[in-house]
Amino acid sequence: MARTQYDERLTTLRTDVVLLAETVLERYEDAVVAMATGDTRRADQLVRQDDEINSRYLALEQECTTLIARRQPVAGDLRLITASFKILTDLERIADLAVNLASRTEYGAAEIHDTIDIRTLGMTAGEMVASAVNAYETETSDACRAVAETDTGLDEDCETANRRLIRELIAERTTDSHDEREPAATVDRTTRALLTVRDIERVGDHAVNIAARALYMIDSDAKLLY
Amino acid sequence: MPRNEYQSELAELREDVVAMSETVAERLEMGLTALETNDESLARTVIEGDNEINQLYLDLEQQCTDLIALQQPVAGDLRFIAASFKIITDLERIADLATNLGEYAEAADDDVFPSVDIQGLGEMTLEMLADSMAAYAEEDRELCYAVNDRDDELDEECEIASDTVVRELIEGEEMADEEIETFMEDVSRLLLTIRDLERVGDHAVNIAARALYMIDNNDELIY
Repeated sequence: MARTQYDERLTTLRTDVVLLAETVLERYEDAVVAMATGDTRRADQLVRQDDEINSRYLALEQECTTLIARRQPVAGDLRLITASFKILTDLERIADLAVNLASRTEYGAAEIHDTIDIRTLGMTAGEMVASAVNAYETETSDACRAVAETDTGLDEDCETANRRLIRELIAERTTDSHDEREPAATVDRTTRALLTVRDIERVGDHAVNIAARALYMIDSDAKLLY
Repeated sequence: MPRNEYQSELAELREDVVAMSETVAERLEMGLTALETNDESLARTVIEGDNEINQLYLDLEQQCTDLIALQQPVAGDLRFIAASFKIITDLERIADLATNLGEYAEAADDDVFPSVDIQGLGEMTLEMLADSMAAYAEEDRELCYAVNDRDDELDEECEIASDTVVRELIEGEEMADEEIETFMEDVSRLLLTIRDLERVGDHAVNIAARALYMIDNNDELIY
């Protein structure tokens, strides 16, 4: 492989990873909106489209290993390729989490649970993914650290949401109107809400992984990696 | 590098990855024990030991990229190295989750819902981790599928456990306001523990999926 061809392939790799990230992010944001609006039609579509992401993911992974094997890259180039290789895994997982959200969407249910704001939590995590990918694309180390900081806030918000859900259950104890079906429905609704919060929090974690890899690539700084 | 040396470097990588997984499994077990016995000093040991795992992880990653760059491996060897490269990430994440267990153990006062069998869930995750690593080390495709099936069981058990918590929350006695705060802390931690164990299972499946891809070029379990 000639030098220019190799450089082109490196640039293409980066562009392709960013394009995959854009598709994944779009799917994820659609899943959040579908869930918040009870749009089961869109949700079903999202579940079916996951195969496309998976095959793009494996093809790009292949490109990473081929580039390493053929060119024996060092320093910066090697860090770009290994970063891409790891970031791909996080993108694929975010797509899986989007599918989780989509498959938990219920028809016409405007909010999964009225005590928590899924749309805001979900969108915060989505923005983190966008910033992390942007940091990778433009090699901005400050942006990487910013993602890690935002995640601390997201974790807190998720924890607050969980507590609110738990507190509401405790409050239910005091109400006497115990219809037979009522507890089962409440358990189901709360469990779904807890799982959704958990998935959104995981999207945030993946955004941090991406930012951590980008930072390691840019500055050889492993600080955010663990 | 002569061929023999290359072969022995591949073998060494496999051994090192397996050794890392054993250390990680040990940490996970310690985290579970710390939770069970409320042992704060054991919890500390797990938390403080995480740095060592992190260093191990970066060293192994270097070993993988060096091998790929210097040996330009193809086909099976390349899949093996790429698998190792991905598997160590999962191992590092499992170690992070073990650290979480240590943190919960440090903060915990007492068992809120003894009916939730955390240790049983923990046992399952330890077995899944051991099996997924055996699948990788011995190239055992049947074990890859077995780990994947086992994860469905774990997910179900975790869901039952969460449901139990939620149900008991509704059905319990009325509480005084001052009791509620600590109780909520304990309940949140219990839910987080269940969640983290479920994640350990997911990482074991990732390892099994990578092993299967390495063995047969079969990507069936990867997603």
